[in-house]
Amino acid sequence: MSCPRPDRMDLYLEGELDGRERAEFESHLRTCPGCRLELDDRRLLDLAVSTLPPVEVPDGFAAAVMARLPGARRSGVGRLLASLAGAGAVLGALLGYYLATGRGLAGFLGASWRAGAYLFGLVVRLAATGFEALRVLVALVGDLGPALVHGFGILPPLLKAEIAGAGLVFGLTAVGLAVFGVRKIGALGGRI
Amino acid sequence: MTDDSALVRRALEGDRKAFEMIVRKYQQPLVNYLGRMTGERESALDFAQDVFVKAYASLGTYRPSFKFSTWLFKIASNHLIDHWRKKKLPEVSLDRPFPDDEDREGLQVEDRGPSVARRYELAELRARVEEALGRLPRAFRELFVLRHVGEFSYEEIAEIKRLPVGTVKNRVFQAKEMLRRELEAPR
Repeated sequence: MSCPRPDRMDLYLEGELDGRERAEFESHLRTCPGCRLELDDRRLLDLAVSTLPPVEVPDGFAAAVMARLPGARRSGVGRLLASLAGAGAVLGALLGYYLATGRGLAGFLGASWRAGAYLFGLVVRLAATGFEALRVLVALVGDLGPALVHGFGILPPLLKAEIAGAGLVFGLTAVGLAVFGVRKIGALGGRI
Repeated sequence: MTDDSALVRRALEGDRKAFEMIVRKYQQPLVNYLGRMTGERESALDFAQDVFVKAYASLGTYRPSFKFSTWLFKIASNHLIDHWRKKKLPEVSLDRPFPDDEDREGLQVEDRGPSVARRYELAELRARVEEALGRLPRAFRELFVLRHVGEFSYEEIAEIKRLPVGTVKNRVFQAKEMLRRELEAPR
């Protein structure tokens, strides 16, 4: 066997040669002082590289990493409960709309779309309705029983589709967050 | 020691302690790798934190059929590439074919005469190696560091860098020859 190529010497030192090639190489080494010298040289360099001092990691490193992590991940049960709550809100809104108006899914979706498109107006109107209800409650505080019944009685006709639409938006948002997670949605497009 | 896949599963279920165990297990090899790649301890520590935070955010994409260390170092390698791209530092692309990648005869090296390594005591040799590593082209340095400092197998490095195993072997060897030339060069 002629002198092996240097890359084979490195692979020999790394234990990467197969049995036959290794045996041939070792047989050659016994008769070739030049290759023995070269191999020792390479072994020394490998030793220097493999014993380089570690880059010091400070004691608080792991704690610093943990402090940078976003809040605790929700457990599987937590996700399930949140999903059920979200789905419940959607179904509740659908049922409420049906009971209040007697109209079906198409009407419900139309109302939801309108409610979503005019979200800002909805918030203002809801606030105004709330204040109105509060005013009624305060005005009728002297006659608590009948007044309370009257006060709550005026709310459903005023809200109807808006409540149903808000329920749908809230429910879908809750389901999305529960299923995909805030972090995963935030990390979309991020390279790993 | 607890299996990495089990730790990942627990971390995904909200057990932060499990992720902390992963951090403690891999912080030293990761910082060693990043330190040898950047040449700066502080940068290496900052990058290592970034890598762990990215890993945590992507934990759901980890597949237990792969080694966790390979997955983690792939994130680290991509993080470094992103950093260098943002800083617009030139780099030798590992995707570019090198003329002697498949030409095994091209791996012959010239006779250098007296031994380089035996000219120095081990401690001095280490110091010179450390210094010379910083002068290697990054793409070669990375493969060399993964192999000889990170002690990954050639197959694992091929997985991390998405390169054929033969190409990785060849370039690790080339990197070592470059290192030897750097050590021979007068200071």
